[in-house]
Amino acid sequence: MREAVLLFLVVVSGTGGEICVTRAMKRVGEVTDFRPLALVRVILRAMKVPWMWIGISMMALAFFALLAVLSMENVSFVVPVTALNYAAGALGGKFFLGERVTSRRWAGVLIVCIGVTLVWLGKR
Amino acid sequence: MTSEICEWVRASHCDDSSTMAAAVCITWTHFRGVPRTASAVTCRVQRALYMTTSSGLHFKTYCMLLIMVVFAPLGNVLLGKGMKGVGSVVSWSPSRLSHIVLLVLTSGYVWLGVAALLAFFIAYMLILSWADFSYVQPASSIALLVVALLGYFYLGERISALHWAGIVVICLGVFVVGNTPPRTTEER
Repeated sequence: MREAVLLFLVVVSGTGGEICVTRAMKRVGEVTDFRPLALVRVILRAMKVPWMWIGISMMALAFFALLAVLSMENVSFVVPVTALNYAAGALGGKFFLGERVTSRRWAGVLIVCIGVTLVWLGKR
Repeated sequence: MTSEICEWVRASHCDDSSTMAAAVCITWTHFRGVPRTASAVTCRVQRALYMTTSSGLHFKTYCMLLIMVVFAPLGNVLLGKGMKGVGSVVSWSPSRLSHIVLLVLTSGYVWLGVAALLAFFIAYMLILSWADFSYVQPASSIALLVVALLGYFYLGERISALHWAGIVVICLGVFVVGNTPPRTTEER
């Protein structure tokens, strides 16, 4: 049960963090100049967007939850389950970022969910 | 005259980028008086030039993919090994938790894992600067399989047949997800 809560945190907080960072980076604008100085300027600009900080803290939370769950479960169980990120990402992209999710992508998400179920059942 | 030069450029120098650049200069000076034709020629030359450098690009891309597919699973496996050494986080009392944080911070495996994940992340960012996301992302499905293999052979984890089946199905799903267009929103 505790593992399930932690895994939920890894997936939801990780994806939530990525969505916030995406939001921030879309506001910063597409990066076209990859010279070091220009990249530093992009990073400084990104740091001024509040969404960036929310995103980074959520990703940090997800990382520590991952460490905690790795202390109790096998890597070969934990990492495949975190593929649920794709399901959370599709939902989050649709509802928070207004992305159109194609039926093909939904099909992929469904397959991932089936796989995670199999892994979960096969654990014992 | 134009088509003649084009043919000459395409036929004889496609496999040598420096000669190609010289050819661009030659054709450019030849056609300076006729800008439209000249740009058509340089356009063709550039395309031929792109084709020749793209084998280098392929090599670079495969190297980065290899780094990604090796370092992401390696990072996760090392983190797992490190955390297994720390022991199960069962108690959430402050004193116990601070003790665990100390153990995590002093675990060599955890730091190695973080370094491997960092290497993965840098390769990921670099490759995304030239390759399509929908091309790169299916590679992470291979990484999932590598994690399972490393867990099985290196950490000696027991994996049941159903578990393997699940992992393969997940890889398949990630592959399908990755093969969809990377951008579906309007440019703002």
